[in-house]
Amino acid sequence: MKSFFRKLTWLVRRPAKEADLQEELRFHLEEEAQSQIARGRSAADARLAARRDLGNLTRVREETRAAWSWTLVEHLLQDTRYAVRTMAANKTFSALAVLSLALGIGANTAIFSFMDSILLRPLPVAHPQSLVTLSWRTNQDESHGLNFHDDRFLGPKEGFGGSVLSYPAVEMFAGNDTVFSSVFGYQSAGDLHLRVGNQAQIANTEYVTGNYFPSLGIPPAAGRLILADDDRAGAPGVAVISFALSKRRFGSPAGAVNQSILIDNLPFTVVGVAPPEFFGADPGALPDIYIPIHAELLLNRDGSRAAAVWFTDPDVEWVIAMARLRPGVSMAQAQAALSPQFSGWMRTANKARNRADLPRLVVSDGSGGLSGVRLRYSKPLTILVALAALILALACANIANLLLARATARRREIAVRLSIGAGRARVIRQLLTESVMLASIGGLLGIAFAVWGIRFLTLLLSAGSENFTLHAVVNWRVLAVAAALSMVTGVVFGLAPALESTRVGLLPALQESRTAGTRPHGARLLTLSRALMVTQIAIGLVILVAAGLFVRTLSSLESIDLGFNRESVLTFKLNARRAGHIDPEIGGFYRNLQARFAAIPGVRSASFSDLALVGGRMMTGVSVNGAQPRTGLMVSVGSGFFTTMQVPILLGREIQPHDTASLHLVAVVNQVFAKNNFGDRNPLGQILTAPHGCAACAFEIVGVSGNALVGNDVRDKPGPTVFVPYTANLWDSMQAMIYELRTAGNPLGYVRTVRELIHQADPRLPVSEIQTQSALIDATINREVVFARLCTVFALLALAIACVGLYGAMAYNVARRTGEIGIRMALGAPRSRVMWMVLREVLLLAAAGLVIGIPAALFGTRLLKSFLYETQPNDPSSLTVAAVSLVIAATLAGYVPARKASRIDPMVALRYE
Amino acid sequence: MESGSLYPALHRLEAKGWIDACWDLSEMGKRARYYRLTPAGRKHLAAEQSKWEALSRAIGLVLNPAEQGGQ
Repeated sequence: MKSFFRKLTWLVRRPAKEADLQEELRFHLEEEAQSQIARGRSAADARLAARRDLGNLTRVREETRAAWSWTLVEHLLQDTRYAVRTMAANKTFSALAVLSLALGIGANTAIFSFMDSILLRPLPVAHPQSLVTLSWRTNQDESHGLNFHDDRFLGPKEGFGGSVLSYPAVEMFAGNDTVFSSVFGYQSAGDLHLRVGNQAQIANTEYVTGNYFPSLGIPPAAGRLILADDDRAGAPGVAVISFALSKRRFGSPAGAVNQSILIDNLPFTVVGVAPPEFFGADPGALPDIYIPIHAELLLNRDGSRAAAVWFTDPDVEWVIAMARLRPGVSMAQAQAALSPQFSGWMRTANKARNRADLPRLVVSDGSGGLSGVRLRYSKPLTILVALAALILALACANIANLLLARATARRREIAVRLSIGAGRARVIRQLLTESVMLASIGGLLGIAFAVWGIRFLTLLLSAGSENFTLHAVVNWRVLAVAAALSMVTGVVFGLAPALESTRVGLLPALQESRTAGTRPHGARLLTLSRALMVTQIAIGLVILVAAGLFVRTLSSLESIDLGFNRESVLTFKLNARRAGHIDPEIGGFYRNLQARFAAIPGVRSASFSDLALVGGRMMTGVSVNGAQPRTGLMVSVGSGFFTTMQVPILLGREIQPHDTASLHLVAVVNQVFAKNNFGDRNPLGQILTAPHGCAACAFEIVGVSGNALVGNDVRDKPGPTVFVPYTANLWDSMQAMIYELRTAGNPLGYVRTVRELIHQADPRLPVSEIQTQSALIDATINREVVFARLCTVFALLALAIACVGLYGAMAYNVARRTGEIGIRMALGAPRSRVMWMVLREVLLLAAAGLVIGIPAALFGTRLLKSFLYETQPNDPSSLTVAAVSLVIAATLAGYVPARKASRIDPMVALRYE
Repeated sequence: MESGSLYPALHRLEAKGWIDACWDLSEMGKRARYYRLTPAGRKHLAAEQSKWEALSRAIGLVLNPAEQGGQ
């Protein structure tokens, strides 16, 4: 070891060392000559004798230098230099190999990093592994209007699942302290209005139970966190704010402590700041403010129910519950102990649910928190990961193929090197250096691609939304795995041909002209290379078919007729009630704003509604002429809504200014509603009532409109819909309104004017969700947009990598067969025949690839079924397009080498040897 | 043997850390190159020496078994 460092320092001060040796030898000669002179020789004689005695001066120096340094390192440097020269000499080959590897590594790292940050990352809390979530399953969909259910269909076997419990249920679990050391809950309070000084903004707020922070065991960044005593009815309003909010509004976490803020116009005191890495128990939520769950009593102004029921009624399910297991208690033990207890409690306490299908408790791992984001993205991401893995496989096959092709072409060079005395190990080492170098450069470039890829993916997944909360960073472990994989590929496929070509008898290899390639081991490499090409084409086909399916899905989604004109509409949300407006003034305030917006130059018309079209829906029972209520959708709108959204009025009139100025109980129904309830009869003049929406209202139908889509998603079908004046005050309280402005030109050009007008009208009123109507709609098909775009990128990548592989392998093939082609041409083969010979090989490989790829694609795409819309997994046109583009790409990749082959001059080719 | 082959040997020993080399003034006031055993070198020398002695004793036994056996 010591000798290693000594040599290392010597390496650095090599020139000094050299001079030293020179000096030493000179000194030796001088001393020797002196002693000779002392023995009586003449000076000249003595010097000669000294030189004779020392021997060959250059050799002495050479051998001494050898003692200073490591031969190994010197050889490595030599190899590297040689590798750089070889790479420079085959620029195309090297660039292609490096690029395909880098793309493969980059794409995989980017996708895996996202997957990691969404699916795998544990909560940044103390001992996340002892956290569990408490959720439930039922056989049937159990939406009954009394809860914030997030039930979703999990699968035919699992049935429906949800994660909200009633507050008494959470208390019941908290009472059982043999299994859990603590049980805590939270729920989003939604986007509330926050005012700090004069500045108003929307803040994502989270209700948390008093033991939420103590149970998670996180330290405050400043001040203190919410404690049990803060969370009770009548306690003073306290809030913990996020690190980011404290920086933004107060400059620093410390500056935020003890500051007064207004949340929905109610005074709260900031008692502390959450640590910067904490994002709430739900990785997708990222709250700005945490407040005690009992603050609900102050903030909830939903007039339909007494506030206290939220904490006392076992039928009102709204709290997401988590718990910490006692040390030594496993998840399975908790499940076994609590399942019967929960079921028994449900049977006695709950009155609203279906007796035959009461929820069953599910205790599951909570180390990553409970996350809608996880559920939403986990399957899409798995598919993207699978596709990215295919890309990496493609890239590895590529580099393997290119290395194989090159090794075959370099057999003679290697034989020459062996014959002039290079050791076998030395030659192998040199070939390995080259492939490792290729792999390393590919890996380095892959890091760059990974960084870009993550930026690109963030852009793609966020789809322009401001508060996109998933921020992935490059995952170095994943990067290391991908890079190691490429390195292994480089070593294995660099080593195999290296072993093969150094084992040859020298003579035959030297004699072998470029026409060879029929020798047994040469043929073996060739078969391997062909198998790789076929695999590449098959993988490429699978990716292309997947991309085709997603693109078709997207285009069918985009071509859905929504029943209104989505272009050139600006939408935004205002909640005047949260800013302190009350009945009946709030109605006039909204109307007044509408008039101000309509007066903006360039705004053709302005209206508003409680729901944006394709921005949600509200179902309720609607009764016609006093008959049994039937499910219908109700939307409260301002005047001119149909004109603004360009929904055709088929019969009668739309809701007009005088209907909203002084309330006229009129209604416009859509075609579906008219057809369902009246058939061919004239609906005008009929009377509608909505017992839940507005018990006292009797609406007279004054118009029938086209079927504008009211729903959550463009895939929803238009339901029976009733539009009524917003002043009818459905659900007893006028809340947020979505304004719609039909504009001339780009709607986003009006944002500044709109903001100014709102500020003039009421500086306390923040505006949120400013976007175009088309962006709002696109957000509902965000996943499909992402899939289509990303898969198209993947498909192009796959096509490019496959072409690179084919081209590289074929080009080497042609180079190797130059002599043979020369002979063929000398014997009279026309150029077209030579060209066809090469092209035919490419096409045969492509055909073989398709034969394997088509069944693979048919099988693989069945997994995508749930992501497709009006497209079958075995969609023949996607398959055809994919196959044809692959064949075209293969032909293009083969054409260049084929053309080169046909241009070979027979005389040059034959003289070459 | 040429005296030149001394230098590669010396430098190899230096690389292994068994000897130290330096320029110094000789007793006659002339600049001269000095080589000195390092502690590691001394230890190695001792080890090699005992190995050599063991070997030479063994060879001695083989060459003169009677003489050794007679004592």
